[in-house]
Amino acid sequence: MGIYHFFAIGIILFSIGLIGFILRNNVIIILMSVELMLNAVNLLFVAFSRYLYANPDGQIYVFIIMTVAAAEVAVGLAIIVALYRRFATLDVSKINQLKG
Amino acid sequence: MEAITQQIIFWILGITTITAAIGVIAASNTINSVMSLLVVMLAAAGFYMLMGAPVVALFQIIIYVGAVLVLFLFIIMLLNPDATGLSMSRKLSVWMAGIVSVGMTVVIGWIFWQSATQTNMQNVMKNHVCSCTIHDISVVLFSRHLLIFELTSLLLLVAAVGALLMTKKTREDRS
Amino acid sequence: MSLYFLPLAPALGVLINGLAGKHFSRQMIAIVAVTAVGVPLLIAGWLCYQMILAPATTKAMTATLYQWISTTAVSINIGLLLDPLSMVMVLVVLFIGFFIHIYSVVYMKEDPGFRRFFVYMNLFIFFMIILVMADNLALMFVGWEGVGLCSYLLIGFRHEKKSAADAGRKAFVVNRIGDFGFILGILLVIVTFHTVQFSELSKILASHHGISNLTLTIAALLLFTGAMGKSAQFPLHVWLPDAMEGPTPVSALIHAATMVNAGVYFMCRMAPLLQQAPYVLTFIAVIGLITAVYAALSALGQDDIKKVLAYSTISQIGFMFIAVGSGIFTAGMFHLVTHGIFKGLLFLGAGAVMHALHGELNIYNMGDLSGHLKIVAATFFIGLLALAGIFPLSGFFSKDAILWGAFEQYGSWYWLLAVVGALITALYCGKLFGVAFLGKQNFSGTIHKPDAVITMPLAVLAFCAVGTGVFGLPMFTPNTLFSRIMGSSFAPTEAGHAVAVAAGSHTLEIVLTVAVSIIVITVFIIALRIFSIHRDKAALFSASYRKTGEFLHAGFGMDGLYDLLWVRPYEWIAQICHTVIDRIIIDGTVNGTGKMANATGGLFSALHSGQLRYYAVSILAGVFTFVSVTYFLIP
Repeated sequence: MGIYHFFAIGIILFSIGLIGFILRNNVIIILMSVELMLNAVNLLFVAFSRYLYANPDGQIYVFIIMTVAAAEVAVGLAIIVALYRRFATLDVSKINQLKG
Repeated sequence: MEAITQQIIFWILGITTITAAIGVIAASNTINSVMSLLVVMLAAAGFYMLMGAPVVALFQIIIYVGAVLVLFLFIIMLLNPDATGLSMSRKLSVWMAGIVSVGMTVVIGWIFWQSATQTNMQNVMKNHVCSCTIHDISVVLFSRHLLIFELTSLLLLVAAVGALLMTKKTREDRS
Repeated sequence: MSLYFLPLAPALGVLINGLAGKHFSRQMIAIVAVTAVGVPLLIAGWLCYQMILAPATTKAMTATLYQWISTTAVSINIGLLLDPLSMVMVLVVLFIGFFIHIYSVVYMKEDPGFRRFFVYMNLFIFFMIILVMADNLALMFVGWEGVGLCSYLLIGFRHEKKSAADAGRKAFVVNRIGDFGFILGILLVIVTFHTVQFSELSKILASHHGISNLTLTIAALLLFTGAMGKSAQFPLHVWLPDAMEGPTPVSALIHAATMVNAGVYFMCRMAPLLQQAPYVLTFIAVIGLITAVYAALSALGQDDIKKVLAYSTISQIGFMFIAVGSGIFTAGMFHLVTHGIFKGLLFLGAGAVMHALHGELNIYNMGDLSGHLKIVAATFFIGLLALAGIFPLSGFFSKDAILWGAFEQYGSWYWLLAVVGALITALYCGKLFGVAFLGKQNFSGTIHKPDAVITMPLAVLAFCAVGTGVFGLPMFTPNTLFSRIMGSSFAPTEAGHAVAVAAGSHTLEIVLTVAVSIIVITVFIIALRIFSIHRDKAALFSASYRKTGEFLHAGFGMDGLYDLLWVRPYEWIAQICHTVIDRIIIDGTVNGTGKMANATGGLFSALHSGQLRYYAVSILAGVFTFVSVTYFLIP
């Protein structure tokens, strides 16, 4: 068991998050998919920090990412609330105001 | 801990994580998604423990499980949206895009892996292990990464104010 | 110190009425505006008294406010100069201005732009005093442009009327031609003399300066161009008849009594320079003569009472320039004063007539007004007598001095033409009074009587129109009362002239004067009779010479000529600019850029589906491309 395993788990987790992001129509699920991807990245950071570089910088980045993720969720959920008020739906395929 | 025990724990956690992650994106009920996400988060915390990073694991549980997921639940309960018919997209093009994206992700991951291991593989070979106690992390965090740390606090403040402003009902909304 | 107060008071009037006047009653606005002119009039009177008492060497008062421009080439002060020359002008401006302000209070009573009117009027007085009291060319130019601005604003006072707005623009454009010359003149003076201060200029000119005659001639000529524009001299006179679109008090104050005379004053100021440029003097005399005769003839053909007076003004200023051109600046200034008074009176009288007849301007629609408007008719008659130059009114003395000076300087033929101008003046004066005030009444509506505030200024000005002749005494000598007041203003420039006059005999002068007076009186009386009693004969006469009448009415067709020479080609060029340069080249470029951006944007906007997931895929594809390129293609 080593970095290979964790790397594989990270990539798989990221891909699942990505697929969720692309395939789902529910905005809340999309935000959760983003969280999944962030977690995958965090996992990779810690793994690389532990096995590949052998210093704690990667863990620091994980902290930073966690903070940013928390901020992102706060803002993202605020946006969702505003969106829901505005469009009365959570379906992203229907929220296409930016269509050119 | 013995290697074989670690192996067993890893595989259990791995299978749990991936199953739960699929559950997050596949559940038709939003609450179920959040619950699955909870499992993913906890499993990730287990991974961190396994990798000898207890501090990260601790914060994973505090921040993600304690704050982020609770926030998700709040919002879902607050909006109580009618989420029927909001599952997977049924368009072929969307599925194609998803498959292509996964392919691209894999390629990107492979490239990163290649470039990272080319220079640092000796660490892996020599099985260097970092001393990542909470003391070491604190020293690095408050010396080398102090600026980033402070900036993050600013970001949090801005995000909090921004979230407040965004959800505030304007005069037109009320009328 | 009190010198500053002269321009300060009207400026304060402008500020008070302009900023706070919105909350004032009309009465309050009127009080502020009239006080802003009345107080400096009192001060000017006091200063004048002091000046007369002062010994000859200290007659000029100066005050420097601060240094305006300071360079190595020239330094210009904001400085005021009050010598006898500017004293006379200040008194004329403030005295006539004061009575016209009082008159306007009633005249403009019903006007919605009451406050605006008085703000502009006070502003005009302010700029006029700056113009008159400036001690250097640059500051004078500031006042010069300021009065031009006020003139423009007041001509176009009823700007909702197209003809008024057009007239204002025309005045502005024509004045601009003159001002262009003025600016060039100032620049040439700066380059040549390195100063614009009048006192220093005359000092340099009095010394052996060694500046070439050609430079002096060109400078004088350029400055005279400015005077031509402002004083409506041929061929830059076309704006003045149209300027009658402004309210009548404006015509009286700006376009008869003060601003249009600024050119004459300016030339008198530049007397030391003109004296050394004899060709320019001759040129001025010729222009003055042409204008005097031409405008008098045009006045004969007018049927609008204000247009008659406008052409008459042009003609009279022509006489002033004859004086300037003949080197008798004192006589020019004297005519300026008397003309300012009686022409102000005539315009105010015309305003009173219009007021009484509900805005009727055509003199052929009036007739027999003397029966209804006794005071107006009497004062108007006095004004016309003075204008015609009939003994013993003020116009007689000033015009006679000019005619005699012209005779001495340029000989009998020139004099004869000037006399012809004077005769035509008498003719149209008689015609105007005969048609409008005597004979059969042609006006059908009710005539409402003017009130005391309107007739009072008329009476005062009529009294002055008679009385100012006193300053022309004793006659036939250069040492008149007026020239004594003027003191040493033109001493170095007129000294030679005075000697020549003293040497010559008075006999010829007296004979000519008496002869001219008799002819003028005769012509005036004949015109009066023809146009009041034998009106049918006059109508028959003018019917048989209809073409000539129309020619005179159009002012010799100068407007048409300018239209053909300048306006049409300009319009043609503008049309080309419009269709070719603007429409095709500029619009084409601008619109083409816009269209191109639009097309490109349309191309790219197809990429924007508005679907969030595709944006995410795009980001990923971007990262993929970047990473792949850096890894595979860049070793």
